[in-house]
Amino acid sequence: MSHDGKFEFDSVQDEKSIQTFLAALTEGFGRGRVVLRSEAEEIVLTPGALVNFGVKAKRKDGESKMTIKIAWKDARTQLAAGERTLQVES
Amino acid sequence: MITFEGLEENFTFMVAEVERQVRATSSFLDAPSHALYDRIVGRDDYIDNLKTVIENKCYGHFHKDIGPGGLDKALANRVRAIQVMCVNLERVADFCVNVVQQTNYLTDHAFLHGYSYKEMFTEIEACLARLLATFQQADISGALSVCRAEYGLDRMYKVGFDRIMGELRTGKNVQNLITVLFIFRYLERIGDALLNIGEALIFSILGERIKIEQFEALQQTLTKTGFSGGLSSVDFKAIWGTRSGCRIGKVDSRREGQAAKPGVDPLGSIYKEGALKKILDEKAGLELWAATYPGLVADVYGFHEDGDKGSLLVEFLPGCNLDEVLLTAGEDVLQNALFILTQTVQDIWETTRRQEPVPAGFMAQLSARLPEVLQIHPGFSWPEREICGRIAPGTPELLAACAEVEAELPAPFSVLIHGDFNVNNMVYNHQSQRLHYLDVHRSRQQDYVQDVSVFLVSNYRMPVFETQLRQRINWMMAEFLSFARAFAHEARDETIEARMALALARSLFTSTRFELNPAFSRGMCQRAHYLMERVAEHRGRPWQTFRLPEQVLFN
Repeated sequence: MSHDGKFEFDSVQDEKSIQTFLAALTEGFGRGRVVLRSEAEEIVLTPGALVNFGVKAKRKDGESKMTIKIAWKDARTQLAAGERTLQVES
Repeated sequence: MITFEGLEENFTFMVAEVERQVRATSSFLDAPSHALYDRIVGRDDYIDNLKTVIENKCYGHFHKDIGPGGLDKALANRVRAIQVMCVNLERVADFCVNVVQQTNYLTDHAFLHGYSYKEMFTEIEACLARLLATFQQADISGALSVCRAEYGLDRMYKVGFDRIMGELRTGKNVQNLITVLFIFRYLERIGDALLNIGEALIFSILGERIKIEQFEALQQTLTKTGFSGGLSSVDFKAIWGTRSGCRIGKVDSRREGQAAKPGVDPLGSIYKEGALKKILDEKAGLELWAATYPGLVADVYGFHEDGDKGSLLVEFLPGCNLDEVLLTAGEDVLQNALFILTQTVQDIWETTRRQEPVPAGFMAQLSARLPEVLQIHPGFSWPEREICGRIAPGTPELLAACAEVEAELPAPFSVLIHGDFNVNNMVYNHQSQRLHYLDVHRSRQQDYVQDVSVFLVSNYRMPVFETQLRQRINWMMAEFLSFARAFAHEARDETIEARMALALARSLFTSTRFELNPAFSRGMCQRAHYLMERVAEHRGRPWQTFRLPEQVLFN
């Protein structure tokens, strides 16, 4: 990851449009780069060789919810490389 | 008569004490003495305490009587009125103390006697003398005359003010002149307190918070209708509040058990007062419908214009608002109401249809309302975002894209639309099997899809989440949508689905300004974005093939 950051997206989708987002994310994982942009702000996530992957689901009173969680620790060497790059640029 | 815990008695004392205070002040100005000065200042503390006692009793009474059934409405209104009057009476007494204290700044007390403060006292004393009887006898004319005392006092103050200003220009007696001006100013402020007292009296009698100028507008409107009864024979009931800035009340000229009077509708009438522009629009709307589709809207009995305010007296339409029918009526009544609704609307659309394309302008309407929405929900316009190359368009991009689409998508014909076709803007009369429109100030020739979308969204956003009632609401929406689609099919309107998506986006988005529940309002806004996105991505393909994703309304 090149720098700290936060990205949020909250929307209403249908069964077709949700697939386009999921497919884009799958493709991002395949390339090892998940790029998230909101206006000029961009976060690039580089999933590690090993990731924690969790799926939670619940259904109650006619409402369903599914949470997918993917987390990993960024490699230290990569962070250091990022810091060095920043020093050169400044 | 209020008998509880001697509140009425305390109030009688309060009025008497303030009357005494005013008389003493007047006497003091005529012939000052240390003894009288001390008495006036000393009595102020007593009046202050009396006010606290009365206020405590008033609030205590409300506190004690909260619960099922609560306090009797008429009694509650009287208690409220006593509290307001009491606060203002105490203010009158305070002003009296201010007046006597001012005299310390006069270098020659006799200087004051050249000015006509006496007539102001006469007006104030006459007004206070009427107060108790007016309150006890619920005498509306007496209440109005208490209110009018303020006009008299203002006029007298203006005469005194002009004279003193003129004299100040000579540069002589400046200290005495300014002191006299201050005394006049305090007497004028007593007038303001008396106006508040008069308005509280009107409230205690009518049970409606109404400003004196509104009341006079009502009086004049009634007179113009040929209504001959005294104002005291008018039963003025507030029947609903409104967020659109007009005050509405129901006027019933009958006493219980009394036969109807000729002229004004026997079942009473509705009185509306508000900004002139809005009232004129409402009047124009009512007249337009009366000429186009007789019997659909209320008859106009009277109109009165006063500066930038207007008032209307219109026929009271008996029946139930359609939202009440939807939530409370039996299954058969509801079925019937829907039948009458769709029959009426279809007939209106068919009889008022003009075969010429009309631009709907839903996106322009949405853009115009956006600042109001963002004032309530600052986060409801979001930027474009991208997830691994998949772009989710932002609000400005969607608005621009949909406005372009809309330019290519005029409605093939126009009809006379209601313009604010909320489910609560219709009255259903089960006895006469009729449907009536209310609040027609936005009626005009337009795309019928606007009324359909406003109706659907007004159902959607009802704060009702109980499963069975929600099912009823969903049923109503589904039936009405299918009725609109059938009409479109008959009328060969091939682009209804796309226009409906834009119209629903507009209604969902703009209605969020009335929704403070964060999750619900955000959901509405997201659904509006979802609809706009579907329309925007359909560009380039024939609009006849677009299908409204109607699930936005049903889950």
